Amino acid sequence: LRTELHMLDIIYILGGVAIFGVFAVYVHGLRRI
Amino acid sequence: MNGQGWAEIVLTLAVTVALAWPLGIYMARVWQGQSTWLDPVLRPIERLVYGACGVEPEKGQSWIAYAMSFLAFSIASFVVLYLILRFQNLLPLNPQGFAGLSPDLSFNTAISFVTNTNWQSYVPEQIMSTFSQMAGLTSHNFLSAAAGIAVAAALARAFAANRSENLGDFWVDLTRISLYILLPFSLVIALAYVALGEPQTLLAHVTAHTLEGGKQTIALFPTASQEAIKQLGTNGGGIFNANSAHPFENPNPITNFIEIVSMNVLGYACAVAFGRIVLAKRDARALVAVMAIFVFAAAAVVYATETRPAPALVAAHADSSVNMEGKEVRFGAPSTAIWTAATTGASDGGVNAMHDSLMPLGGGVAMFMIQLGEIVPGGVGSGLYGIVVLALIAVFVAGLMVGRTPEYLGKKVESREIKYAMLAVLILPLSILGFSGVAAVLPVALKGLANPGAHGLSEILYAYSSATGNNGSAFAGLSANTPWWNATLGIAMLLGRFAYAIPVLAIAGSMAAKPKLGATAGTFPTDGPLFIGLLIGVILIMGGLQFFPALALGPIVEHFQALHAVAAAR
Repeated sequence: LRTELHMLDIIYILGGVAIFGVFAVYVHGLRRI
Repeated sequence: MNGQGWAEIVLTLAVTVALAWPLGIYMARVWQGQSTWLDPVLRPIERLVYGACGVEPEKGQSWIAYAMSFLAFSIASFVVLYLILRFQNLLPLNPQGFAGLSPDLSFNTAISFVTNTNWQSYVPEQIMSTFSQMAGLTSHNFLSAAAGIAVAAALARAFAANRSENLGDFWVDLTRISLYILLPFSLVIALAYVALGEPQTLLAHVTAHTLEGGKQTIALFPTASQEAIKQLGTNGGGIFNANSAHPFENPNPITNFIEIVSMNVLGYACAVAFGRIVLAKRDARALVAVMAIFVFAAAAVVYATETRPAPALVAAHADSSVNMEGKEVRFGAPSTAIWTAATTGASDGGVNAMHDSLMPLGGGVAMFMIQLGEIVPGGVGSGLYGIVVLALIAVFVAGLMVGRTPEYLGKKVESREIKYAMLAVLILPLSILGFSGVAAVLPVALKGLANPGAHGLSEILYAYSSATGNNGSAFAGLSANTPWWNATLGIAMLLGRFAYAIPVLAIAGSMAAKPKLGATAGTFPTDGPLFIGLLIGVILIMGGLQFFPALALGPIVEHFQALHAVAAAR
């Protein structure tokens, strides 16, 4: 599995998780309204 | 157009709405944790799931905890599904020996199924293993639909609550909705599909010997089970590239009828369940009426446009009374019309005809239905919370007219809820028009277009509308399996799902904390024709104002170009 894992995979997985992270921050930001 | 066609459209719509009533009553019991007739079988499984996952069903969550659980579930789903698709060559049930998907396609497809969009940038039967179809995609057809319905259930309980912080528990909702609603009804529908001729097998393919002596490889999959939840969960992603125009996915007019009904019935049923929980049955009836009016109007326009001679054929002096390009001769124009309205109004995205081949105005209507926000009747759960957001804006507008603080279903609507509502609805133009604008000038994006001019713009606009609206249908003509399209459409799907649902949960939290008020002489009635008209107006103005300029450059220009071509030929 390790040999098949491509650098692009890391970018796409981390990129996707990062977007979800932004949504988590957004949740807390909306409390201030 | 003829009476038989109109009867088919009206009958399909009437049966769908009629079935939504008993289903909505049952759904309300599931949302509230009440007993159902399936308890003897499913309650032990439910308890087992809670025990295994450490869920405490009685505890409840605030809106923030509910939203964070929704996000946590979706993150885990995204990563697991990405890995399944990427490494399907190392996993079992891959009789065709398919390689793993590329990184950008895995990203796009994982997000697509986690967000209940089911946009497919690939040809499923040529790339997707049986394991990926079943464990990866079909399981998410259930779970993503259940997650959407869970948010709607939380909103319903919020309107019913009186000074409370408790919206219920996301994990309980996810479990109960999957177990008590989606699984049993899908099972029954799947069995009906098998009886009606859809394949259900783990075989990879069969080889047919043709009359000319050649060989033809015909792909097979567990189609019936996928098809059932594909429509019931408003997922729409087909096992075959032709989707429900393929004879294995949709063999005959009876399966066609069941598919149309099942793709809309839970959307209407969510509104019925909402009304029962909030003790506002008449108000829920008004929401159902608005949904049904839009679906009928859209079906009528598509039926009218598709039963005229195609301008290109008229210009070529060919005999043509109905535009049959891209349509199944087994189903014809009226069935295409009601399906198109149902699938684009419902964020389903399954198709029984190619939307790219509809006349420009027909295609424009399909696009417009998506751009309204997938609320008529919308995706399962997401349709209800979307139309409630617009109902809040409608009563706010009415309140401004008469100078009173607006109320909706016994809750005062104040500036905070309207700010949340606007944050939700503005994400649609931001994503659709923003991405479309960039793609319309970027060479890397334009490489994927099959058509120049107005139709090309329609293809771009439709793709981002479909992704942001979590619809998933494609206009075709766009080669979307490239890093640019896979990445940006993936981001658009995430925005359409979570940047909309999170403010909705904030509204739910805010509403739950408010006292429940009784109606007074000054309360604007939200159950009559005046409110229905107002809500239709708000929906049209929001959709029309935001997207009309873009539509004018796409399908509307194309319509006049077609008329001009006919006039020139004469």
